[in-house]
Amino acid sequence: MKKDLLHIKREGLATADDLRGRLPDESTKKEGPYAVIECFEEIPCNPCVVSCRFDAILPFEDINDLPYVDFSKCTGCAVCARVCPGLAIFIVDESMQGEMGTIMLPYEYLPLPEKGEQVMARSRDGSELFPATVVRVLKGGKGKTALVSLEVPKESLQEVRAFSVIEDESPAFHSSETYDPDYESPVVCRCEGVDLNEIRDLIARGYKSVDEIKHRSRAGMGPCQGRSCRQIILNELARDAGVSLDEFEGGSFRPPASPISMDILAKGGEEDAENS
Amino acid sequence: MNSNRILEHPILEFSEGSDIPFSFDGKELVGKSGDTIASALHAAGVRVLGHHFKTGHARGFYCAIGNCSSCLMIVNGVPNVRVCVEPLKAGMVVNSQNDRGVLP
Amino acid sequence: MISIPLLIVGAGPAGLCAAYRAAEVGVDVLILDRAQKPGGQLVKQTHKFFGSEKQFASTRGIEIADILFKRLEDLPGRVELLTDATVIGFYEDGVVTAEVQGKFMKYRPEACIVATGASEKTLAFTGNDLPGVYGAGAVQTLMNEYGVRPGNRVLMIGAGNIGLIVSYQLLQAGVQVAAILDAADEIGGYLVHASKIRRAGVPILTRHTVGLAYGDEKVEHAIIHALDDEWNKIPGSEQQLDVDVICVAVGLSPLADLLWQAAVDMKYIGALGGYVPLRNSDMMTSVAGLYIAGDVAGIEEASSAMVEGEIAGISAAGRLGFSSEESHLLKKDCLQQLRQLRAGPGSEKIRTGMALAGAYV
Ligand code: SF4
Ligand code: SF4
Repeated sequence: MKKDLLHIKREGLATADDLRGRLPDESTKKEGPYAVIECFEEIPCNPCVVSCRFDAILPFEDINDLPYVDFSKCTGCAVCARVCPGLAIFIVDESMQGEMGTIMLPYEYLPLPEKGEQVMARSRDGSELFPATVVRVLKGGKGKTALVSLEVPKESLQEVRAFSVIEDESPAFHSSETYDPDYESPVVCRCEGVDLNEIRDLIARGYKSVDEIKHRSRAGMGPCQGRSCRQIILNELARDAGVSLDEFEGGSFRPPASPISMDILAKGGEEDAENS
Repeated sequence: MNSNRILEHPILEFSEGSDIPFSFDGKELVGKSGDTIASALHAAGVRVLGHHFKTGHARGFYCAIGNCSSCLMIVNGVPNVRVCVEPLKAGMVVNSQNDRGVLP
Repeated sequence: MISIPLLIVGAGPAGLCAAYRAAEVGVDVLILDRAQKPGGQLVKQTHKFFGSEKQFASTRGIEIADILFKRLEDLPGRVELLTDATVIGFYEDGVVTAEVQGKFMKYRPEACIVATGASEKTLAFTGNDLPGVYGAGAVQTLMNEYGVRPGNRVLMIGAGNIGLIVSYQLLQAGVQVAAILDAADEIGGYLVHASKIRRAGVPILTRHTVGLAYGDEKVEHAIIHALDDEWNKIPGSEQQLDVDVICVAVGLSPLADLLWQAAVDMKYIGALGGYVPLRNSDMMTSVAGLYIAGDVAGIEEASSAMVEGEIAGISAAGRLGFSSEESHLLKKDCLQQLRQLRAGPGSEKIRTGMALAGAYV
């Protein structure tokens, strides 16, 4: 992980700083619409580059490369914004006279607003900025990602990154009521109803493998065959042994079925299997 | 009653589906074609599918793909049916299961 | 007893791609899938895929499933795909048993590709067995396959790609997401997914965990805590959230039960999600003729699962004596694709894990 990514990876939010090098210079901004690509992490993904008919995104040497726009070539056609699976591309237009510009945002929620409608412009963290007018709606079509343009004061073009149609009346994040529950132990094996205290108790008493714990507690012997509890028991055993799971040796387990050899499968099984 | 049904979705289309009547603990409910027993119950607002035989805790489904055993119910008299993968059929008699499951 | 050349267990992205490459050169393939509907996890994925064109980038998972089914038609080899077909056991006498649409079946395959995917990890917290605590896969299934909302307000545990994607899907279905928690100190999933969810106003709380779920026979409240650097709960950091669903997306582990039965060499590799079979660059396990592909070989994205499936399909076909002039080149290209998909800084763990497992990296 690159150092300078750490702050975004903690919160999922890009800052003005991250946008440096991603925006055109002042004179290019006046020439027409352009793409702002907020894709800061090297992931295996390239539809933006492949889709641009104007070669306006610098070519990738590796599929994990980051997309950078060549603003002298970008026409703001928004083809890349439509295909980007990360919905990370926004088309900004501040070439017009006056105070206002437009920002085009990818949108995959319902309802789709209509041209002329007032919506609430929102920032990168979803907080309300101001009401804005929808000036253009490109329906999703085959790919189903719609593009919606809002009219926004030029100075806010790099703030607005989302909008919402309905007044959001989501209840407060916390509830006021407090509760003092009886602390019971978490359930480890849903099938047999074995909880974490029982498992820890067995480990303390000297049961040191998944199989031993299974036979003693029945955890893992229910219909799901230990799919849900195995990992938690392994974690507890490794913690008890003071090692990481990768080093933990007592973790292996065998289902009751007999081992086979595919060689025998291939030969048609005339001979007896003797590879146990 | 079907308030949990998604009627509109920006990406997916859900066909209307025909009504499938069934009963749950003696109550008459209606699911949709294509439902599993668990999805029909959930759409009707039923989350508690039974109680664990040992802990007595309420049980709901957990994995919804037949891996865990959290959703076992009695269907047409047969216990231990994993309702998360069992297709709903008209007239099914579905009952909560609170024990290990005894065959009739 | 039915003798068949190639059995593929699992009709998800890996299994379907394996079938395509094998049937393309003339191998008759039988695919068994335990679900009612084939496609594995693809049929729940409403988002557009990353990757490149070769892995169907920018196409939604649900549509990729259709593409993969379609291209199995009219190939030199015949592909038979049976659903509601659970493989039960691998036996000493070379027989694979399965329950196929209610009937007990025995097969004798010459080669086998296990592409059984993964199962979800669970999390131990008090109240974790209350109705309303659902695995992320369950939430996706309910919402995207059956069109039923899991609840009104969800607390998501896990900020890996699955937690982020399912949160987004919940928002699209009109369900509120109260918060996304992750015990790690950074978001595990792709940043672009995270930013998309932040824009919808959903907080992502790293270094947080859920301590307790409670309510009257179903989830009504959750208490969450901040964690210190040692992963201990910070006293006084409790917050109570009113939610009716707690969605657990704390990762997947390879669903390798059949491979244990087959006694292939296994190794615990945390970076790959748990116990995984050792394999060579052909995706063959320590048992000759037994191949693996997809999440069962180590938890990764669906794009790499598809490429691994292709490699396993080409290799298994080759072992059965079927190959074309392009087979060799195709395999090389697939290996190159895998290397690229795993080249990014975010895939460092995968690279280490794959190297330990003997795979091509
Ligand atoms: S907006 Fe059009 S021209 Fe500009 S980078 Fe995107 S696809 Fe290329
Ligand atoms: S298509 Fe989107 S997510 Fe993918 S590399 Fe380009 S900008 Fe990033």
